[in-house]
Amino acid sequence: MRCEANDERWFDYLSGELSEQERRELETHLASCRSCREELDSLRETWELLGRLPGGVPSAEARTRFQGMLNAYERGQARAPVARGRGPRLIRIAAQLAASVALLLLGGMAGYGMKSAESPLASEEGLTRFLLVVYEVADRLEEIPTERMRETGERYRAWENELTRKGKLLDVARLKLEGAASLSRRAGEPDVSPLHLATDREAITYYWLILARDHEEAVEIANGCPMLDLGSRIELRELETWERA
Amino acid sequence: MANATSSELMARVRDGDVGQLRPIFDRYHGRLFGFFYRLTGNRETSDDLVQDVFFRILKYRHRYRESGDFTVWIYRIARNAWLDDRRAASREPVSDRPDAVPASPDPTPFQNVEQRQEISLLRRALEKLPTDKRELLILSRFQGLKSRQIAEMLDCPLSTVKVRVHRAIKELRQRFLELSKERV
Repeated sequence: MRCEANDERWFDYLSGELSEQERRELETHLASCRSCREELDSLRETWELLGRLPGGVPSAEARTRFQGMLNAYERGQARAPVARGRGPRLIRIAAQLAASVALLLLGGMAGYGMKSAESPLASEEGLTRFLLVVYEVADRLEEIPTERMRETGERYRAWENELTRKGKLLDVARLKLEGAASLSRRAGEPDVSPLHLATDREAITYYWLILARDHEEAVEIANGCPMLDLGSRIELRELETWERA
Repeated sequence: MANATSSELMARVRDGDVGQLRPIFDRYHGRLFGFFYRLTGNRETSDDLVQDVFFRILKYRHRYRESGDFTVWIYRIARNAWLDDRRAASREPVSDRPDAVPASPDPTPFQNVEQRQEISLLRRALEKLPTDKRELLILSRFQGLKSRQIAEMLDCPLSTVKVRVHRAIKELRQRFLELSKERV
């Protein structure tokens, strides 16, 4: 007959948590109780077997992804108050719906210029940077029913949240239609002329700078963007890396 | 700064100095990875879950209270991340799930065949345990946690944790022996 009173002690015994006195008491008991000795032997064997279960090694990407997430968060935190309530319709809806800090962060990132020095050299960690550029016809978005916009906004929020959570979103910004200009040089003289981006024509309205393992993953990420469901088009470009002096 | 406790660092993160999360990541990401890897047997999932834990820390940083045990706090977040992931995975089509029981995850050339088979059986035995028992065994065996901390994490009496660990070890043994017999 096994002594059930010891059921509370085995774990502490195996993990070395028993006090010296408790351990001595238990060992004294074990010397005279065959049933408990057998119980302990059986438990110890399994405990040791379990101890051989490998713990694995985190991937080299893990730190890069964490850094990417934290950098994005820090930038967003600094800018959040400025960007709240601004931005295009889809982002505005998402921002209204957002309760999470993460979305404020993403809203905060809008309009913030990329600082390459802050970002880890992705290519060194087996990740590549991709630029996703969104083309939209602004007028077409205005025709979409509010409920559908709201629903798409929610999915958009989830999509961006997920990218941030995984440390794959380095930057996101909206590009204003107003104030666009075309620059060239004629006979050595700068020629700057306003560029009228009509709201009934396709124009670049956003970009995301993301990290992905390869082209296939970048396409998968872009494919997940709910803005595609509203008729927007995404152009995907891989960034070349080069050594800077 | 280097000697600051994780609790002190987390208090700074809570108060806005989120860069202090870096040393916390350095201290905990290996342990958390081990926790998830032993639970899931999947490296990519474990990487994602570690990332999720630190995302949640940022998201809920305002809720941190220094009076509590930081390790208990972070493992609570880790457990929730894992449980949420399991719930999400259960809604996916079966074909999209990672292998629940990899035959031999990340085998190394240093392990001989017999050892690999034993570990494979152990993994399958663990998979057959109810989720709460599997989790309890990983927490108690590998994470360097005291039974008091586990009790606080699971929000149950200390004596209950001790008895549950005892039962979980016995059930694991039973499953392992059954699988060993099947193989023979």
